[in-house]
Amino acid sequence: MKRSWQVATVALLAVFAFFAFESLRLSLVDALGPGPGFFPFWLSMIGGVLAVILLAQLQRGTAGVDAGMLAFDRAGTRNVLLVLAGLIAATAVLELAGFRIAMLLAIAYILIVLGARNWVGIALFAVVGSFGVFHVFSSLLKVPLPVGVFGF
Amino acid sequence: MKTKRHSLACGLAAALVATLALGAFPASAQQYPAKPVQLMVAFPAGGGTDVAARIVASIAEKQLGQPIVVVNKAGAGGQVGWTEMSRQRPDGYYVGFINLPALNTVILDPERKAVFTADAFVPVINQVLDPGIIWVKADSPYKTLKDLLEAAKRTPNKISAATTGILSDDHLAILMAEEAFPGASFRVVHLDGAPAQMTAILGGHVDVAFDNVGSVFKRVKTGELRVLAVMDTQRSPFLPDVPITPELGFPTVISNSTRGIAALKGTPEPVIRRLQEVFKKAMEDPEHVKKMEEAGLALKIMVGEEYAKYYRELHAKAAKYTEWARSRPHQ
Amino acid sequence: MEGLAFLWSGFAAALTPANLLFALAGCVLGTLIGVLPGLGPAAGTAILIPLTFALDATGAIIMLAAIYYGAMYGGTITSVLINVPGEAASVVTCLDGYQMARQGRAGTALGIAAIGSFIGGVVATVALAVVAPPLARFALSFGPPEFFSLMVLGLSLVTGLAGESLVAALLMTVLGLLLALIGIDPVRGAPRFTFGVPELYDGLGFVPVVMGLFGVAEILLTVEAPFGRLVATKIEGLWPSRAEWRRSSGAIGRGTAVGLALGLIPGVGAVIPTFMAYILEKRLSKHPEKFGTGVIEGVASPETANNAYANASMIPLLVLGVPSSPTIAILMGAFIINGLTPGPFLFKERPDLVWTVIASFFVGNAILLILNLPLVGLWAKLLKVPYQYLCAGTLLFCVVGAYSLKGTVFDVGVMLASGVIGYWLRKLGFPLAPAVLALILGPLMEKSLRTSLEISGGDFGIFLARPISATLLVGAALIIVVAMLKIAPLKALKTAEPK
Repeated sequence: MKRSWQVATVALLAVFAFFAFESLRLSLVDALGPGPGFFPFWLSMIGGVLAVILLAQLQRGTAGVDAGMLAFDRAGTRNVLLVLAGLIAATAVLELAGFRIAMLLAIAYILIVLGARNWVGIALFAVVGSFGVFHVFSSLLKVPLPVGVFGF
Repeated sequence: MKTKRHSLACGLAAALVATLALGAFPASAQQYPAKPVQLMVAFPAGGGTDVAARIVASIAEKQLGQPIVVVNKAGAGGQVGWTEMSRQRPDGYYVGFINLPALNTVILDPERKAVFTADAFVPVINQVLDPGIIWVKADSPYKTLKDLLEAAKRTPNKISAATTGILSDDHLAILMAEEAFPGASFRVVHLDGAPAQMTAILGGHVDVAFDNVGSVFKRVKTGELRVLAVMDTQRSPFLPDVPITPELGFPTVISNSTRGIAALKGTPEPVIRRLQEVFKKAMEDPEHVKKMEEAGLALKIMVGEEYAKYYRELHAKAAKYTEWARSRPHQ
Repeated sequence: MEGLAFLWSGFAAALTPANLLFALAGCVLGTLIGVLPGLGPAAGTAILIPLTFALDATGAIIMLAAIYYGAMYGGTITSVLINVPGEAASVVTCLDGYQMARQGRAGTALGIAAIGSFIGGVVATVALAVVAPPLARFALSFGPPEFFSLMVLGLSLVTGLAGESLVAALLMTVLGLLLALIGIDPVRGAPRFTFGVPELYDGLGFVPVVMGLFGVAEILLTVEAPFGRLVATKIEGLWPSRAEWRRSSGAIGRGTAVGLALGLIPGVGAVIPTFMAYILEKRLSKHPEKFGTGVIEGVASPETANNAYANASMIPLLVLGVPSSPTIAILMGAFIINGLTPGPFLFKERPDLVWTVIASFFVGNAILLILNLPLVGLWAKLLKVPYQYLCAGTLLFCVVGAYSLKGTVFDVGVMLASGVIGYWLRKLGFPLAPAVLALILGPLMEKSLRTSLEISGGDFGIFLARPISATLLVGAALIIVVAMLKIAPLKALKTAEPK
């Protein structure tokens, strides 16, 4: 637990360093008071100090760390990675393949990966979730959802 | 057998290629419009531009024969929407409203890093011209524009003047006023739109507001505010009792905000002409005229070359003031 | 009190079958819009404006207003059921509402939300009817410096969201503030941290980030350990216990006050009142550490504040003609299209219309309650579907929602990235709420700070020179000092952590 918090805090430190660096490229102060870089820079500094404090606390064991749920099991992690992969893929092709196709495949994929085996249910849900939702949004609500390059 | 299958395959391949090729032609090769047209508004739904756009679109689409879908792509004072538009195909199926001088200053201000230039857009037809005004609270010590400018000269950089956004037409108008009355200088405060100005002035936090007729004219009746001047070449039909800047001795202080429809560079001429025809008719429609009047938006229909000329001249004028705004020690 | 006489005739008009129908339609549509992802009251109201072209002015406004506060309630439903805030203001409800749902108490959560919303809305409307003008005048004295100090006060309340580690909460706050600064600098117009990506010019987008941090992250956690996170199999009774009623009544009272007060100040937005009410409740509670595990006050408070805010924000609109938020601006647009100008003149020119509309707010709030209470049990049943379908459905929901905000896939990407980050933060035990509060306060703070400095010509003293602003800042300082004092002695007592 302590190790993972340390890693996270160092990651935060890196983020703050990045923001500080980028802020210096914008002006900190100009003729009229604070420039665009003023706030981000000082915020990053404060963040850096806080991160260092937290690291010190973690070292000394006085951090008052909340109990997280940092346990991993293979089946669980497999699920997470698979679902995430599916989502990323669906998002990447959303405008290419169009909402209907992308979501049809994504929903079916997720259901199957998570263990659903009722094929009728899966098919129905996937179709309603993709084509059905598309229809509702575009015809009834006039909110356009992506249409793929094939015009579909 | 093999040759037969082979030629069949060739034939299919040829047909496929032909279909794809046809699909790749701009849709204007067929009769325009063959599918719905998207009309982009670079500001949030419900705002002045959006309301006017929806009104004219609903009338124009009956003429056009295809639905005109108003699409809001708001953000960064219009920059997000115009950036999105500049990346579309110039086939006439994606047109948008341009607000001047907002568009001009986005292009001219180096800090904004706009990805499009002034000639990326082809002005098609203008709808609204909203003249700039200068107004104060009803119990303000400044009774005329002269009072205000003299005070701004006596106490330079002390009198606060609100705009509706940085490098907006209001901002440029403040610079024009200072130019016309040498020695006068205001403390410029950039607020977020007309409602913010209203609370700031009525609450006594800022001394004077530079804005446009449309935002404010209906409140004049209530007696809460006093309009010092309209920055136009003729009196506003909505505020007939308010003097215009040329009458007050400041003929160079002319400022306004226009909203019109533009297409992308490279859009075929026949398509542009069709759009002009359809929208002109819609804008002249009595229902449209009535609704614009109720909203306090002055119609100024400029078509084609007239609009393009206005665009070019405004761009040059905006360039001068944008330069000046950026170089001032206090904005 | 000539207002009361007008109010009476207003009721008569509001209760005509036609206007009743409009209010009902508005409530139903509004709730649906609130439930539907991404749309939110703003977009939904805008879509429905053309519909109201066909109606007369009174009917149109009644319906649009009903849609607005109906949508506030609709957002609650998804927050409680699937931890996806239907729209920004429902974020805080996720904290305890979803936990209650996991314990089989979704019905209770939704029920108390409905009741709290009703009370908050009615009280706010009474304020509108009776004391609107002086309230509005007071609100006018809030200029940019006061606004900034108010935001600072709001931010200082972050200390109330800290779990065991104050430093972790502060870290998250700073992170949230920095992320909030991504986009075009509001005062100078220079893009910051955008890497030339135009979609970032307006910032990350609060809604996609929050949908990711809460909704998507929750799905990832569920997928990882389905049986650990699932709903208790039996859906327990719908009514809160007597003790819960007692606690809720206090929460509702305080939530109303917070929502009402903040609704008067233009520009605050609906999210901040919910945070403030929640934190206030947590601070005053005898068992603050229970917040976040599913306490009923944690739902009653923000939900009441939410609706009180929605109704109270009509006050600046009707009395001053100033819209408090983009959504109200759309409502104002509807007024204008129908040829009316909100503002003091409206009261004098068309008292019949104004008072009918005000009366219909009462009616609308009542309709909302009557509509939603019976449905609560139904919504709760939705949770019984097999978890694979719930997950897939929620993800679909989120994707559609994120996309339909601005019509770009970019927002979906932001949501997914936030989901992954949220997943990690949850697993580690870093608090999310401070980051979310900072994300929404950040831009407002910076803008009002720089505007204040423009007004004062660069003089920082302006914040202390003005009485209201100074008071707020002192309050903020006190809150921070008290929080630090509370934690410091505890830390001294703590021994080294066992491995």
